Amino acid sequence: MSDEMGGPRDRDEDGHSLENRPASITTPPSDDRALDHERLVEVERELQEHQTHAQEMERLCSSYVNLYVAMHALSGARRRHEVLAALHEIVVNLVGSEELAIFEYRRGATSLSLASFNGISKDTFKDVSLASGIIARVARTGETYLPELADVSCRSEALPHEEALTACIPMHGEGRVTGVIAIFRLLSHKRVLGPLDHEIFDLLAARAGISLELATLFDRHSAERS
Amino acid sequence: MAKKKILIVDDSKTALMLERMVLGTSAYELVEAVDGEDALAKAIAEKPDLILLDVVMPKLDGFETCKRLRSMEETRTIPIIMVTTRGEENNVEKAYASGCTDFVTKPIDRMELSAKVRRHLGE
Repeated sequence: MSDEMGGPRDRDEDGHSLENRPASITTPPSDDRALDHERLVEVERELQEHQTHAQEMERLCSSYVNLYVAMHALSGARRRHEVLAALHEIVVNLVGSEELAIFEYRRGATSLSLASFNGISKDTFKDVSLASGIIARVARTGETYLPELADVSCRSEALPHEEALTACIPMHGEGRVTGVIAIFRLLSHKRVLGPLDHEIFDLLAARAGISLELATLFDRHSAERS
Repeated sequence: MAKKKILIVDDSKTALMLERMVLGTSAYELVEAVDGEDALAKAIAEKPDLILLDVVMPKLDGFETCKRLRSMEETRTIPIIMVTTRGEENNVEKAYASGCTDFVTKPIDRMELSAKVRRHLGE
């Protein structure tokens, strides 16, 4: 070690005397490696945080895209058949199921009537009594049913033809439940529903009923005028 | 540099919109077709750099459309990515047998579709 004048130093960087200082207290190469290791661990941790953040951003981005597309599809549908077609397309293209039924729950009715369906038996679901079953329960309570989140007592209410239900979503409008969207088996390559799907379901619960109601009124008004 | 042109073919407005948003009109020039016959006409007219092709469509399904695209001199070499709900193995085999370059299933995964498009466009 040397000082600024080039001569040997008698103090370290902190001003401590180097005289009779044991060699172990000066900075041996192993401490440099320890510092490098600490820095490496810190960089790896920062990298992991960035990756987690990037994954979350990607999830949010996918969510926004899906929700925007679903909302656009519903908003752009003026006629009743267009709304029903939009709901089918949302379930097929954004959720991933080709088996669904859309029911309407008219005021004062004792059963749900089948408005539209795909990939399921029309005869089985033509009229769904409000007395029993999961679909009826959703219509009565206005709560979305997801078997993986439902408790055992709720799941046990499923009628035989409801065993394949993957999701059952109430449609809200007029201040009450106006219908139900029942989604059955998912496409073979889609194993489970995820957070993105749940967000779509929340959107459908909030908007599908209103869209269908408005479109039905529009059709009726158009028919009366013509 | 001119944008690469992608022909997206689907009878579903929702699917077309989703693909438009995933791919982005700032990065690519997008042309749409709503069925197989429309796809054939537009593939010849527009000469796209890549085609995203739905399978289940009216008039002409995706498999038959793909075969016809492969049989025409003007469209034989265009990369074709089939986009479909039919993810079963036999359908995947059928898709490749019809001449497609790659395959994605619905519901579309944004990252997967973007990566495959970039790969087949040589980006």
